Amino acid sequence: MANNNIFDPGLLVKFSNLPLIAKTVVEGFISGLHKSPHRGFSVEFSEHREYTPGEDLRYLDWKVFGRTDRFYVKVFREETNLKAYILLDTSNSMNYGSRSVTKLQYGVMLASILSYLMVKQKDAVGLVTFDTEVREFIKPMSTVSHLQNIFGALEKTEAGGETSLGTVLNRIALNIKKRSLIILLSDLMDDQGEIIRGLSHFRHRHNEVIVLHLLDPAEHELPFDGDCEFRDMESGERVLAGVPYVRKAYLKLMQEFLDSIRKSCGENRIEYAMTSTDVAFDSFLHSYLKSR
Amino acid sequence: MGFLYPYFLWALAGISLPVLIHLFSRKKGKPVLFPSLRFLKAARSMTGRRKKIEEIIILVLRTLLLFSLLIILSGPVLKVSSPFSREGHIIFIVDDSFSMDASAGLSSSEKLKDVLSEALSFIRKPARLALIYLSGEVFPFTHNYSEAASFIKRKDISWQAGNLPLAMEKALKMLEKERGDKIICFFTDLQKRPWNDVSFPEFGKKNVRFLVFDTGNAGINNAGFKRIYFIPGSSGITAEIQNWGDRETSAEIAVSGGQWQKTASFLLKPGALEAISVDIPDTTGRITGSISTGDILSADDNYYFSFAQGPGEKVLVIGDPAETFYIEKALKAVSGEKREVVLISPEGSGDIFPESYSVLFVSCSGRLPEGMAEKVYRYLTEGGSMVCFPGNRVLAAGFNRSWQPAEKFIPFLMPARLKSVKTFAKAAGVGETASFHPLFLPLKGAVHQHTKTVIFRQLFTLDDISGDVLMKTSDGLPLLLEKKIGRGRVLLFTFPMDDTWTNIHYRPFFPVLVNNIFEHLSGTGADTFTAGNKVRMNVPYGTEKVHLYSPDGEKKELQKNPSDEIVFFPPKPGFWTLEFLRKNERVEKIIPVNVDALEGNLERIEIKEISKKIAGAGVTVVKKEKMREFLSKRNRTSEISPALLNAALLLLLLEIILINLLSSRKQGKTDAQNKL
Repeated sequence: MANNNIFDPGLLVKFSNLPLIAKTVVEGFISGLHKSPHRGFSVEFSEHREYTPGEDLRYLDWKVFGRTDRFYVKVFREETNLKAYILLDTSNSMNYGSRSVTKLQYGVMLASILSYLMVKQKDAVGLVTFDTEVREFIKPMSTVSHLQNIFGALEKTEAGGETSLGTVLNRIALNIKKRSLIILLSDLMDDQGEIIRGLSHFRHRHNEVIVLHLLDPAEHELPFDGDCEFRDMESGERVLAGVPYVRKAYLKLMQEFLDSIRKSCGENRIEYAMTSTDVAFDSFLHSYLKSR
Repeated sequence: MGFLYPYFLWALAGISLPVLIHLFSRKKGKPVLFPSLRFLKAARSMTGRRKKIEEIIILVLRTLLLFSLLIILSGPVLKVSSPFSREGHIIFIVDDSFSMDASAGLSSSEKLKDVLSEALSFIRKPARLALIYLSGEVFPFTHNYSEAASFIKRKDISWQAGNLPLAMEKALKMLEKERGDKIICFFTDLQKRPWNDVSFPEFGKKNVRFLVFDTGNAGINNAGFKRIYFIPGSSGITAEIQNWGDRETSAEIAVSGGQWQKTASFLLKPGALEAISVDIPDTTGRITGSISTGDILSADDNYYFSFAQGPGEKVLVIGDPAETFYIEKALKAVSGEKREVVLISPEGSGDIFPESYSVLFVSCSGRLPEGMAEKVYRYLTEGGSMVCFPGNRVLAAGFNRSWQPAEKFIPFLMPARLKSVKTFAKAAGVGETASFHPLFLPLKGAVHQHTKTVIFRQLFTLDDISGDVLMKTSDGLPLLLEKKIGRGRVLLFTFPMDDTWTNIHYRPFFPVLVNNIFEHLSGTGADTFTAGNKVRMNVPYGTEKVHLYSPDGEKKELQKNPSDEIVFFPPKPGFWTLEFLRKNERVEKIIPVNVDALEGNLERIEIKEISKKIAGAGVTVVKKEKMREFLSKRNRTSEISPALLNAALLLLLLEIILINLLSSRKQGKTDAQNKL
């Protein structure tokens, strides 16, 4: 939830300086980790070592055990040449914010934070913004000056157009030649099948995919009263509904959608995390990294 | 139905506005931008119908609420016309039975008159009115209401029970050929008793409206006399007092016989019938019983009782001196000179006036004078008594002929016909006696002790026994028989008082027996009569004039009918006296008249029971307090507005409940939030 601290998106959005936001959040977050068990993004398998009782069983290599009947644990090393693409959905629906932060603003800040974090780890990071078309495509690099480019692109980002996630993801996947880490920041307001097909395309090309699902609190609460005339931000379509009557059904459908997306991602070995735009960045990063 | 402020009804047109708005307006909700309508559209299609239904319900409720309020503002009134239509025929059946007297304070007679007069005041010409009282009086159809009002004013509550079925019959007959509206109004205290014999299953087809005006009160307690009676041979009278109510009542009874008075206190349990025995110094004359219970129905708190012998202890003995000697001695042996015994030979008995005597003793061997049997018959039917010994030389056939009058309507007067004389080889003793009979009751079961020395050498055998055998020989031959004729009794011995027949007249038992016979025959209570009921009585033979004296001493001459009977209806309780005059002789007969005891039962009838008895009449019962409102042409605003107001409040309540239910659904959002 939103806190009155440096990680509060409602507070951070008031600063227009993205590098500062990113730096503040990442430094603050890292300093808070201390002996954190989290492995971060930039880790790669290096070798096997014989298992010693007491070690974390998560790193046991079961395939080796299957072949040799002996316990070995995987040893990782920091990867220095990881390429990551942050895909930011800039469709009109992302421009929705029932409180102080829109989904797009939240996505921009989150993208800048992740970029900063990865460059700080010497990883190369790129940025793709899109709606129905790709609006910006910055190839990944690990230099600080490159980071400035990303921040610059993010600061210029504006919402516009409808969402066509499936098509555009396929198109982006074709443009990424080398195995990369794909981080999608989107509200996923599109046909679920299309979305999953687009993301699977990345998986077929041996990319790691992480979906960070951004939702406004109003989307999973529907906190309105009486009769409301809802206007679709993308299509402009209008619907009159008595909120007290439809709320229960709406929330049920929304929950089914979220469960379905989560399940489909799991089936396609796509990491999925949902966050609400009122959740502080440190809380989100904490909970997300913990689950990895 | 009408309205006091009808201009408010114009506003009813406004009710259509919300309906029209609901039907034709396109609702505009609060504009809200939303990222995607995908789920909203799906949710709306799932719940849209229910919302529509709820909206319609609220619309209906609000419209009805508005409608009710506007109607209330318009001042709705029910204009009910008086049930007394101008073209109709109206009959007031008036319950003037004495139960209507159950009223504290002002005389209920006056109250009833007031109620009737008030009801009468609502009748308008050309409607015709008739009055029928349950006591029997009828005032025929008239337009002259003032005459009817005078009749009402004159007529007090009767002391009678009344006859409702008869009154209803009369009313229906009077209405049968009339046209226009027909109404029977029954003014009553709703006492259950008059309805007992009422049954008019076809009433509904008569096209007669039946209105009941309830002038009575529920929950009135009453206790009263049921009867006073005397058991011959006992030393007192027994008074039966009934507590008709459901409350325990303490009461005091006072019994007085002129020179003396006896009192007793007792407690009457709810619904109980108490028998109170009161010892009295003598069994002559008039006895008045009164109880004080504090109830408000006083008519049954007094009871009038008299012993049968109006003429006192005067006995006539007819027979030859040899035959009547022992009877006279026996009669005087117990009472001394107090008892007057008149001896007459059979030949001189043609001129007697039996009604002057309490008991006749006849012991004769020859034929009786012409007309004697008829004279005795009339005497017996009105409560006289006769004891008969067959004479020593009498022949069975002659005896039978003497007591079989030539007139066909007069039955054979004796309890049996004599057949022949039976002579016993060995004298017979007294065998079985009817020890329970008042004759032998004073002997307390020791009859045999008294009769063991009595023997019979000869007896008349009998034929055609029509009476009860009270005493037999040890062989089972009848010695004494009793027969009731009218209200009187005849006792017949089957032997004369002659030494060749029996020694009974020498034995000490004889005066005891004769005295018991006298007590039995003369000491029984006279019949009591009920106020309002017919009293029919044979006039003593040779009576020239009959006078009737009311309890207040008012004298009235009664005319004999061709059958030598007098008929009259004593209208109120008390000691009435009949005076029979012939030549220089005068005989009095006391007629104790009491109210109908059962009328004291004030149990009220249920309205549904009335409806059953008067099938199809659609009975309307109106309390006397509501009568004016019911009979007047009236506006009953008070009955409509509260009902409408209640309806409006109910609608408001329903709407509030519905809206609360809807808003409680909104609360559901918090739960959903927590889920996410």
